[in-house]
Amino acid sequence: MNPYLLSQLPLIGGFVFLLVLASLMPHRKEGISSIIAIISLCSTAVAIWIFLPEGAQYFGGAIRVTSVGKLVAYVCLGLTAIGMVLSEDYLDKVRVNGLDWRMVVLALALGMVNLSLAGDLATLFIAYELVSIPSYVLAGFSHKDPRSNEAGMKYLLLGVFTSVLFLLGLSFIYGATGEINLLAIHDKLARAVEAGATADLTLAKIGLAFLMGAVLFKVAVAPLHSWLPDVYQGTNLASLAIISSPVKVAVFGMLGMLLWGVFEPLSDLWKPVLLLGAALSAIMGNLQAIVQTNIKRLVAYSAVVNGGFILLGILVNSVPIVVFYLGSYGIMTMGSWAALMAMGTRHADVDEISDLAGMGKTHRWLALALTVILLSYAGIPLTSGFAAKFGVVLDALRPDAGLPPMTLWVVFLSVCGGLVSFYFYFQIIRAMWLQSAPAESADRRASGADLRWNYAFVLILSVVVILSLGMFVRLPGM
Amino acid sequence: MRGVNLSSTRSGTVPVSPVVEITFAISAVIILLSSLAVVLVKNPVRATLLLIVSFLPTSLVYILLQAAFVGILQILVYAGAIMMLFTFVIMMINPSPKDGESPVGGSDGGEGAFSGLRGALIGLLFVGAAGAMVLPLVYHAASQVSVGPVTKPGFGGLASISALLFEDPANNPMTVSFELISFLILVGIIAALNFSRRKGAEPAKPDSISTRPTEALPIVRREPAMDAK
Repeated sequence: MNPYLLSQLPLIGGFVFLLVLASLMPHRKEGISSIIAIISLCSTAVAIWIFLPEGAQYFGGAIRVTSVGKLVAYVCLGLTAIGMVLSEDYLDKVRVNGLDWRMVVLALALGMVNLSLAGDLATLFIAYELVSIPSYVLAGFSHKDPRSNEAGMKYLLLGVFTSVLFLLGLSFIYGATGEINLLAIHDKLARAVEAGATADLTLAKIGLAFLMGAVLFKVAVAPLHSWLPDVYQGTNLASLAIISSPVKVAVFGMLGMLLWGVFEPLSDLWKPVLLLGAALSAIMGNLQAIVQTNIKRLVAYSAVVNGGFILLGILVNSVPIVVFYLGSYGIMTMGSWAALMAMGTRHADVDEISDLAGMGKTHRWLALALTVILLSYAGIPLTSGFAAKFGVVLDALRPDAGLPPMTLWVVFLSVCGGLVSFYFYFQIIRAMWLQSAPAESADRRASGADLRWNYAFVLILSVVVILSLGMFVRLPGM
Repeated sequence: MRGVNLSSTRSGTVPVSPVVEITFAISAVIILLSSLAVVLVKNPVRATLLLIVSFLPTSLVYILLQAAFVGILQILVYAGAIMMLFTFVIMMINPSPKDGESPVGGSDGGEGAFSGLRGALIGLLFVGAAGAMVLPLVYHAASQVSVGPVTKPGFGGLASISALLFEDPANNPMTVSFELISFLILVGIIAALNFSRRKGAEPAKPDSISTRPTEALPIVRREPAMDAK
C-alpha cells in the first residue's frame, strides 16, 4: 500500500469511527471520542515518522516529504492532541456537541498534515481550505452565544476573502510558469531569474504578492491583524486553543516552506515585505496590547507580536529556530488557555484581567503556572520564549546572513517592543499576586478545590516544556 | 529580454478573432454589473436571481477559454442546482421585509435609496481604485506570456477532464486533492447539522432531570389510587 495513505490512515480511521459513533449513539457520554481522537492524532505522528522517508514523492509529486514539513506536522499533531485533552470537560460547559467538535478538529488535523506535505498547487490549496474551513466552524461552534456567532462570521468572511486572494495568487503563478508542481515552479523561476528575464517574471511576482497578502492576513501580521482580537474574544476557549496554536503553526510553517522552497529566486521581492510585517507587528501589536483589559484580546495582540518575531525567523531562514519558536509559542498558548479554563466556573469563563485579581492567594499553583507562561511570553531568561526570541535575534545579527539593510533596525525595534510587552504581561501577574479578589467577579471564578485533571495535566506539561526548552536546549548557532 | 520563456510549453501567438474579444467584453461587463448588483440590492430573492444572471456569462467565458465542459457544469450545477436551492430556502424562510420595503421586489425607501446609492458609489470607488492599480500591471504581465492554440484534441471535454482526474490514480497529482475535498464536504455537512440544531434538541443537563415536574407527577397521583383499592 502507498506509504502516504498508510500514514494518513489513523487520522481518517479516527474520523470515520467518530462519524459512525455519532450516527449510532448520538447522546452517549463523549469521553470515548476524545480518547479515540487523541490516539488517532498521536498514531498519525508515529506513522508519518515511520512510513514517510524524507525526499519521497507520492502521487506524481502531489505529496512531497521534506524534513521541515515533517517537523511542522509533528508539532501540529502534538498541539492538536493537547487541545483535545483540554476540550474534555470544557465542551460540556459551553454546550458544544463533543463528537461533532472532535470530528471537525480531526479533519483540521488532516488539513494541517497535508499542508505541510503538499507538493503541488492543487494539494496546497485544498489543504489550505481544509485548515481554514474547520477553523471558521470552530470559531462559531457555540452558536447560541451571539459573540461566538460574531467571531465565526467575521472569521468566515475575512477568511474567505483571503482564500480568494490565495487562489488568485496561485492561478497567476500557474499562468506565469505553466506548472503546478512546486519543485518545477521553483526551477522555472530560478532559470528565469538567472537569464534576467524580468518581463517574464512580472506575472509570477503579482501572483506572489497576492499569495503573501493572503497568508499574512491569515496569520494576522500587522497591519492585517485587526480581525484577530474580535475572533479571539468571541471564540470559546477549547476552539480557541486549536485555532490559536496548531493552525497558526501550520500556516506559518507553510509560509516558510513556500518562500524558501518555491519562491526563493524572488527573495528580493518578499524579504522587504517580511521585514515590514515584522516591524509593524512589533509597533502596533505592543502598543495596542497596552490598553487591553480583556485577557483574550491581550493574548491576541501578543500573538501579533510573536508573529512578527516568527517572520524575522523566516526571513533569516533558520529552520531549527523557526520550528523551535513555533513549538514553544504553541505550547505557551495552550498553557495559557488551560489556566484560563481552570480558573473559570461551570457557567462562565474569566474574562477581564480584573477577574484574575487575588488568584495568587486562592489558587496558588494555577497562578504560579500562569505566571511562568506569561514570563515565557514576555521573554524572560530561563524560559523557552526567551530562547526562541534570542535565537531569532542572534541569527538575524549574523554578518553573513545577506539580509536587507534595514534588518538591524527592525531587530532593534522588535527587542524594544519586547520591553514594552513586559508592561502588559506584568499587569496580569500583578493582578494575580498583588491585588485582592473583588467581590463582584466571584461568580466567574472556580473555587480552589476543583481543578480538573486534564487542565492540571496540560498546565504541568506546558510549564515543564517551557522551562526545559528554555534551560537545556541548545539550538545550532547559539 | 525574452530568451527564457517561463511558459515554454506554450509558444507562438495566434490572432484572436474579434468575435471572441467582443463576446468576452460583453460577458465581463455583465458579470461585473450583476455581481455588484447582488451585493447592493436589498431584496434577497432579487440578489439570488442576479447571482444566477452573473453565472451565465461566466460560463460563456469558460467556453471561450475552451473549457466547454466546465462552462456547462457552471450552468447545470451552480445556476441550476445550487442557486435553485438558494432561492427555495430564501423563499421558504421568507425574511420579513424591513420598513418601507415590500416583500417581493419593492422599491427602496428614501433613506434606503440614499444609503444604497452611497454604498454603490463607495463600492465603485474601491473597485475602480483597486482595478486602476492592479489591472494595467496584470494586463502588461499577461501580454508578455505568449498563448498558443490548444493542440490536444478534445481539450476541455468530458473525456479529457476525467482522464486528468482519474487516469493512473497511483501517480496522478489530482488524486490527493480529490480525496481531501471529500473531507471538506464532510466538515461542511457536520457544521451545517450542528448549526441547524435548535435549542430544544440539545440533551438536558444531568442535574435538571431529577427535578423535572413531569417525572414527579405520577408518584403523587398513584398514591391516592392505591389507597382507594
